[in-house]
Amino acid sequence: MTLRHLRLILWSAVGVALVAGSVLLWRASPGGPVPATRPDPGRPLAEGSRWQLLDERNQPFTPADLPGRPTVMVFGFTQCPDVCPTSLSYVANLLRSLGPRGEAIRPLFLTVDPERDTPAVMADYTDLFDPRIHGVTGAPDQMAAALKSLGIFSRKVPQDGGGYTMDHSATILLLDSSGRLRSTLDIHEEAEAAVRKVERLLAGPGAPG
Amino acid sequence: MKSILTAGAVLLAACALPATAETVRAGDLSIEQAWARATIPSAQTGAVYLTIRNGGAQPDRIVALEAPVAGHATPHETKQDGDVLRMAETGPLSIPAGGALEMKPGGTHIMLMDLKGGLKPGQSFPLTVTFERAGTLAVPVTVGRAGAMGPE
Repeated sequence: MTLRHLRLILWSAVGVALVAGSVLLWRASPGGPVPATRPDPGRPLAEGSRWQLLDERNQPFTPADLPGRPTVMVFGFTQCPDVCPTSLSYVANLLRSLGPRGEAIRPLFLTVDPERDTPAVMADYTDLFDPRIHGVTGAPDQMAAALKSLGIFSRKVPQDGGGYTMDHSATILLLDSSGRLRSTLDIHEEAEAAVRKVERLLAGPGAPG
Repeated sequence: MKSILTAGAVLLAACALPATAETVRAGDLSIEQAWARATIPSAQTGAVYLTIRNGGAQPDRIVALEAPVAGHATPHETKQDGDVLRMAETGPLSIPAGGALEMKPGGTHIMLMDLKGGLKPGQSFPLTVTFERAGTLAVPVTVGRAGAMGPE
């Protein structure tokens, strides 16, 4: 065997290892929980989508209801004992920090578990945190369509013992009064930073930021 | 008669519970700040948080959990994977030698399942914790607001 042959064999082995490694990595990566479509910030959110949900007072809530007021949208479900109360507590504290300026904001809590979260349950649950936070639910197919158009991921996960929990997006959406997605919040962000983001929403659709 | 005696014992135990979170000790372990969040009356689930310090030279671990307010109680953990929040049962929780196990919102917690009538602010209940080494003890848990981020 010449040196040239040996080199060829070694490089081929490297090539095979690289391909095999990539395939393994690709297969090991968690199954695509990333929303398929990122909302276009230049257009009103869910523009052109058709879904009809119900707010906690049993009133219809459709894409046409997204514009009108600056809106803070939180996603979760009422049977979630740890992180959903943390998210709603974060929003309730944000509203308190804004004081009277917070009155212009519409805080919404959209369920990712419409099977269990009825409008009445959503009303009771959101009132525990701040009566200004309104719950939104709907028929499962309508809720799924709405979450998809808002770029929110959710998945039912069966638990030992028969019940289920929901994996879902953690992002809080900030919409200006024209219904455009202006920014997002993460509950790990400092309260001051969150207040500044919401103040930019309150400044109106034309304001920078 | 036996049921009256049992009811009496439970009542006495309930009265003996302090109104605020206190430190409970068992062997080398001390358990602090056991608290839970209020829920709606129809809630099936709740969460308890506590801190366990281990002053000893041996690690210990929680092998069983029980609370009269719930059908069962198991350790859970919330994890954020990119933008996605997931909650899953953890294995038995360990308390390292000379270290601590701290539970807090958004991380490790004890999930109460099949709640019997929800949890109200100001309520307290015993959480029975069985450790592999330190044995079994009742930890008084106080219920704070639904949006509480720590013991109140």
